Amino acid sequence: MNSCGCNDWKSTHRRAMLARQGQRVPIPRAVLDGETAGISRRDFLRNGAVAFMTVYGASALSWGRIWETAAARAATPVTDPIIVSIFLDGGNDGLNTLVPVTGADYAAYVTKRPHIKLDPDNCLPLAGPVPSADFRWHPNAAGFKQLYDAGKMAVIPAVDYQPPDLSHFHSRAFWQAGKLDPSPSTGWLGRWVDQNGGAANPLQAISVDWTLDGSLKSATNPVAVLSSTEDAQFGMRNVWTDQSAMVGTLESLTQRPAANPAMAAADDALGGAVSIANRLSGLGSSPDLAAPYGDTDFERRMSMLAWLISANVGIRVACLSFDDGFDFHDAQLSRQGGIMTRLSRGLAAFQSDLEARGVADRVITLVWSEFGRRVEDNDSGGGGTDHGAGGLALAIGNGVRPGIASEFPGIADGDLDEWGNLKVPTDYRQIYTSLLGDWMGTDPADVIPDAAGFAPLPLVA
Amino acid sequence: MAVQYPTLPGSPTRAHYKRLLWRAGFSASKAQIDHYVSKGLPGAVSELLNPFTSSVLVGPEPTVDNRRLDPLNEWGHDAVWWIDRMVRSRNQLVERMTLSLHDLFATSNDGVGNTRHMLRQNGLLRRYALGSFSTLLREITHDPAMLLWLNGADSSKWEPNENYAREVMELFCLGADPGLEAATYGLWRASASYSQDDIHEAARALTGWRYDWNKSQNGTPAERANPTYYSTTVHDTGLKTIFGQTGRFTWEDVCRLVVQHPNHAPYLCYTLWSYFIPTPPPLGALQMMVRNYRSNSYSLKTVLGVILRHPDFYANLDAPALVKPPIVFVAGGLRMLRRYITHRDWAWILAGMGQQPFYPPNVSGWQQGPAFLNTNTVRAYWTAADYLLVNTVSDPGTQTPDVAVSAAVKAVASPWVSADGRGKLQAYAQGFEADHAPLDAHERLERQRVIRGLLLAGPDGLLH
Repeated sequence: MNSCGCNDWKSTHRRAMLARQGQRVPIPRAVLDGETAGISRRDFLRNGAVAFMTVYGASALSWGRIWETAAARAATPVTDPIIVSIFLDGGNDGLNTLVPVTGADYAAYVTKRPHIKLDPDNCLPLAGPVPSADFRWHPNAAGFKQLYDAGKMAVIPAVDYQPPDLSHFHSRAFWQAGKLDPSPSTGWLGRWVDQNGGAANPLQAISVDWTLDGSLKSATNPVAVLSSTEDAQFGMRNVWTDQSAMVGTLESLTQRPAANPAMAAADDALGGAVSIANRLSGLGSSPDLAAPYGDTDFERRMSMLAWLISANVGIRVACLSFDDGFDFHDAQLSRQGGIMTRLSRGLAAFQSDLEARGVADRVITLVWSEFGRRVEDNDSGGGGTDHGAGGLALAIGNGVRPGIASEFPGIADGDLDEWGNLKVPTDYRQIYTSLLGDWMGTDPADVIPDAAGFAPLPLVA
Repeated sequence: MAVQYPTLPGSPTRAHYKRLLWRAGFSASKAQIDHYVSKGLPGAVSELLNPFTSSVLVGPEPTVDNRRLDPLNEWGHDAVWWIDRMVRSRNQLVERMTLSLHDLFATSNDGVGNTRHMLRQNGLLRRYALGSFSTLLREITHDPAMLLWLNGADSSKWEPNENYAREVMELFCLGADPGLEAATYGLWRASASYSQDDIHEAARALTGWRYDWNKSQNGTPAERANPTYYSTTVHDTGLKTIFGQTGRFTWEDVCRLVVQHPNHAPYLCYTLWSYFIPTPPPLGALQMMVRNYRSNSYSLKTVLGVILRHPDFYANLDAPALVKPPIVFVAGGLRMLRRYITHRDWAWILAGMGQQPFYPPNVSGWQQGPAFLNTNTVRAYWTAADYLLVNTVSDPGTQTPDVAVSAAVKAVASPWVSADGRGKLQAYAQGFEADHAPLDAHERLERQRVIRGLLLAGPDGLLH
């Protein structure tokens, strides 16, 4: 098995142990005393550092880097508003998330959905400062009820584009692009970052995921994908004498004129990854604030995001995709049921986490899916729904204006389009112009083509 | 009918062979390049396009923890089972095309929930990798994994399910992006595109296939491998109108109508080209592929024959512009280091890199090219390089910095590295020497390992 006679897998070199343990290194006095760069000890401690930082692969970190991280945190303003975008991939069924429970709509709901209709008696009422008798939440969506009843949620019940084309890939691309372009080169949040972000910090725009959300694709300023802060550092087995020389060389390899787009992508991604590793290296681990998250990867990522926001690494826009798909062609009741529990619990926990960390006033979370489902169900696997129009979106946060924020067109026969789908009274770009203008305080026209044609919704308080 | 092919470069260098072996397969060792040089470039292309029928797999059997693989029962064994084929197969183009077809007909075990069916579908893709696309389409339309994945087995005349009908048009065969019209010089036409009515009517025609859940668990081995059957009672026998033609269409008619649709050949040829060449096909190449394909019973081999011979395939040998998909990076890396499957860690490493075999993110497959690379996935490419190098580096003895770099390049099968990159590796080797001289055994090993790691997973290592 070991043909070369070596075994670098299990080396017992004396320095191996040192590198593995994660040395505890005192913060240099210069930082604590605020002797340079205008940073004070108070700033440094207030922003989340503790007296000692655990630094993994400490040999890779010059004090200059630790200093830079601390200074960057202390220097960044802490009141900037943030957009968090949560994508429900596959086309969530809004009508079984927020069930119409009155009048002609309810009668149509019962008739058209023999296989998957929910019993209103089991569904959860919309109470709080802006109660609504017209709808009830899916029985498992306790987290949504909690957020709505607390006055921290705005509901957009039938949002899409005209004419809806029912393709996952077009619809998702349109939402991410902020324009009706099936192969966009940039996303709406990416263009916002190009306009309003900086050239140095990839963490300003972050997909807390494995792949880059198309909404974040930028043309000029860097963006990041980070699924785990713990895995961000660049280590390598048997490298402990001079890890910084290795990481420095890796970074320098990315610094050249790129000959083609693939080379540019490789250079940008690796250069950005090294930069992120350097930025995160001084943060230590998240203090546990005991927010009521469950044990799912979505909730792990949400909790990591809440921590990174409070650690003030410069995040302005963030995207996450939920763990499971929403393409309920079959077996919808059981599939959507489990998802509603986890999704609504994770979003409610995220909100309370942000509040515990004192940053909830800075964040609005948008929850969206690329389309809704057909009003009439099918019998696949006990009942499912084909692609439809007019999906459900939610905006969550202390800064939203609570309540039902836009029109619900109804699902009785005369109210539907020729394919039996919801009509589309609200364009998704109206959500974007609201958030970009009223929340971020920037001109939507910088980001959304023909922005003036998409009147803002009353989403922001 | 006669096929037409472009003329290959007349005086190829080793870089031409390296390009061919990397893009039509999974990396190029010195021995493989020597073998192909002896055949000449036309002979090399011909060998790739005419697969061996015996002794296909060469080298030691794959193992996990010194045991035989058990893909049906053990997590991650499915992934390394396939990676092993990529590493050991003499039919490199077949494996590379099987991977491309897995992306085109993207089916995820997340939705299928049956590894036996996934492996069966994999065999189907391999069998037709250089064969007839129209036959492959017929086979995959009632493939058990596909029937579960896109709800064909749930669809009936009473409740036709549109899922497969939509994707067979939008993603597998016809395309829907209006930008295709300009990209194909008008060979693909938006005005000829399908409609929602076509999808609905095709969904009706496709009804009839069922899946026997009892047999899938308790049947004979053959029944468990394929528990599907055709039921005339659930098939909609009525008239349907698809692409303007009307008849009592069945699933076979849908397959026929789709490949005969005017947008099919340009869409498929354009898509296949993009798996091998990062720049769009020129008009002449696209016309040649479409003509070969249509006049030779939808033969994929006649399309690939154009791609592998086209000058664009050999363009920019000094600055490759195609991103290595994660699976290509891992399988190619194993071949570069002459290593075989001995663990299943590749399954989670590939998941982190963004391309776990048998688990595409959705029915549109993996976003190809630069989309594979982001700050998270490149960190996972780095992890893969670290794993590739386990137990391959020993103390090289005293080396000058220059020798350290050239020895490292040779040890990882001389991958492409830019002049700029090579210069920076030299600077690293010299700086390390200056900072730590005299180097002890560990330091000499560390320097080797770092240079090899940077060759594999530095920015140049991500391209081919």
